[in-house]
Amino acid sequence: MLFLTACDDNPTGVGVDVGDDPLQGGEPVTVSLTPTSLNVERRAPVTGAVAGNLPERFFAGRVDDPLVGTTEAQGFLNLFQPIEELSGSLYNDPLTDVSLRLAPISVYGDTTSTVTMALYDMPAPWDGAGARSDTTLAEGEQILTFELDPTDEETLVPLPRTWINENEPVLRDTTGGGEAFLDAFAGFRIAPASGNAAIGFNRNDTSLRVATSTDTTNFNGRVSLTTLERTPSDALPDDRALVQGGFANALTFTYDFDAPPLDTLRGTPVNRAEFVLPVDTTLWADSTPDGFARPTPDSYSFTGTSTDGDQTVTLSSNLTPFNEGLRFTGDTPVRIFEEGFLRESAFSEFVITPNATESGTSNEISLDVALFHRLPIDPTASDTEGPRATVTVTPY
Amino acid sequence: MHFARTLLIGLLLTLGGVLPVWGQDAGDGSIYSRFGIGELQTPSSAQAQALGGHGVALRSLNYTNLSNPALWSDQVLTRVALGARFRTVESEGGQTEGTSRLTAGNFDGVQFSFPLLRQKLGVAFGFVPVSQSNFRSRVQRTASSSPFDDETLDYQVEFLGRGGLQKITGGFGYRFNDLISVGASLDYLFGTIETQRRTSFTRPNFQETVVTNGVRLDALSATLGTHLTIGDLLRSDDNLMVGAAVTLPASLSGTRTRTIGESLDRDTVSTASGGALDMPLTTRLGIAYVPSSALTLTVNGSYAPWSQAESSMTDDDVSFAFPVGGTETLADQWTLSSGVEWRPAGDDSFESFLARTAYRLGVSYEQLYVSPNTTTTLNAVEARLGISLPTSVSGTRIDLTTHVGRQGTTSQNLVQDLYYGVSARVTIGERWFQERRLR
Repeated sequence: MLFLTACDDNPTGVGVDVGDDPLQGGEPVTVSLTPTSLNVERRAPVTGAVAGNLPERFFAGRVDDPLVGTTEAQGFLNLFQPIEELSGSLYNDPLTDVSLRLAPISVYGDTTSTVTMALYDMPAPWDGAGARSDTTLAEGEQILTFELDPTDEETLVPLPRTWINENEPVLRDTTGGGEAFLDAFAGFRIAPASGNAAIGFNRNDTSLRVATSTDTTNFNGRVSLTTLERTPSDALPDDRALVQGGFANALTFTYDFDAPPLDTLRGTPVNRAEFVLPVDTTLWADSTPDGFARPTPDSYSFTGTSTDGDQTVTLSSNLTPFNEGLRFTGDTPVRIFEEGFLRESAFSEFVITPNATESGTSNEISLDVALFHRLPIDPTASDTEGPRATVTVTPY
Repeated sequence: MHFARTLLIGLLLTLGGVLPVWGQDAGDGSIYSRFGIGELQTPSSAQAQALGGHGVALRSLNYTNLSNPALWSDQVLTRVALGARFRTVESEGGQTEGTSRLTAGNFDGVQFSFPLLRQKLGVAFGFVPVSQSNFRSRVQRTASSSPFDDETLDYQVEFLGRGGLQKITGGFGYRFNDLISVGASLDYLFGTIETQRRTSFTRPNFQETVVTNGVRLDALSATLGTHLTIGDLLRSDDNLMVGAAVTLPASLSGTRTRTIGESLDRDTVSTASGGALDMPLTTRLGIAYVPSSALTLTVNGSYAPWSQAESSMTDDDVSFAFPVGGTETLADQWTLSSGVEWRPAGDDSFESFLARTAYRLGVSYEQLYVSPNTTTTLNAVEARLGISLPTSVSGTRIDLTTHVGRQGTTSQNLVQDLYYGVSARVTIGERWFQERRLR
């Protein structure tokens, strides 16, 4: 019966206007809703991890960015002892060379000049797993300084003979299946000495190259950590919000569905919703010196904090920016506003964090920078360029 | 006999599946079903329907006519009837060019009846549609605002009517003598009538929104009927029968709700309860003349002063009124119908199949009970052609009826419907509750 009655229907507008109370309504209306609040939240992200976990990246260097301010990164690294390879010549013969191999994978800052880094011993073993960017570790003695060209794919830093002689027994001590090495060797700290760039390295591609006259082996990166400090720039206008991975790394905003104008839409069904978070590309370009690299995030994570504050829900893990900023549309924004209009808002706050450039995951770290628009100072102003949600509803 | 019993049991089992989906009739129909409580149905019998109307005077041993409880006294067999119907409506007029063609199909009621005292006292029950709302209109529009800077936003709005009222009825008919019988039934009316508005888009990332204004109604009513039979009036063995029935006024208490979303995922955004729509008394009168067992002639009429109906559900606290447009859109309803049935074999069950088949013709005229613009009276004229096929099981017949009609007008911004369709009904009769006799 259903089939028979459905196959031949040809409904038109005939009958819509019949009577003094004709069929009407259903016209969608598009409204621009400015967030109730928008802030940049400084967070100290997890920048330390052991092999097999993210982040794999660590940074070292100092950058004086005319837009962002001064950023200083210090990288910490400890190594695996390749026990099975420590045999024969490597175990018995004198070490002829020990070099730290560094492979830059990203640059933030001046790409036209070399930077000088200082390499330090770590005085004691440290636990980098889960450590955050504001971690403070004990300082060791400086081993040497070295120059690094940010554009080089690989840099070998030969360690001095005194360091080799001092550490040769430790490097070869396989007692306890490597336990002795773990207890005695604490790794390195790489700190900026001069220059205007912060270099990113991948822990997995970083190693200590140990050689005898007949053989060579690598002590690969086992654990890494980045600590960060920043001095903001006075050049940043009040109406712009700077989001940078590793520092002010979250753009947070809220919508109060119980306050105007959102409360006027209570009970209204939603056809479409889009979050629009514009970025300032003009000031960005004007504040970028020649030869200065300032990476921007390839993608962002969009999360919501549940109303009861207990849960953080990932609404989009890979939000790709357009030229003018971030746009987030689809089923999820519709559900967010529908929930707020029809029942109770499921989220008390929305958070946008940049994903790392390399792996596209929010667990990686970066120093990428984005310059978002803040809310208009006059809350009643119709700012079509500002952060907003464009919501199409069908009033009844 | 065994076949009939099997078929009967099968039908009863089918009822279990039919009843729950009764309110889910498929398809669409006239825009006039948007007004009042929907398009009114005429629950009677397959025979009466084919003869154009309710047939309150039509005595029959083969059918149980729900329009007049007095007729339930004439039962010999336990009887079950089950039917379905299809109807296509082609509408034109109003401010929209073109023609709308919509098709609907729905179950047409279930009846169960049996004699307590053969041709003296009978009981009947029925579950039948009282009204149906199933309009559908679709328009394409362009929004006055768009989320896109340089592009307009086109959308489609579809308006749909769904649901209707059903009735569970049960009662008895008692025959005092060959001349007169009376009957009464208690009727429980209930159902939900919904008007849906669906706004949809062809663009990606736009979701369809569905807003539904619904009213859930129920009422208790009663029908009283009487029937008079005068035999040997003009010739030997002829019968002149007069029947009358009144359905008492009923107060349909209603709860109005506005919901957003679809089926199980609906959100109620407003509710108003405590209102009522007072339905008027409905009077039905009919005359049937049976000059011989082969021929039956009927004339029927009915009247219901719907213009006097009152509703307390027209306030605007939930932004929609019931009935649509208020009670000003209701008008007095009356019908006039006539029909003729010819069954060549008469009561002779040994004649050929074609001779035992009944051939029916009926016409009707109705002044509709709705007047959407409050000033124009709407009429409907309809013709019906039907046959009633005998089966190898005595007392069991299959009735097929086609109908074609026209209602409404294209003037005054109204629409005219041309409708046609077919209905089918199976009526099964079997002797139950027989006294065991020694041979």
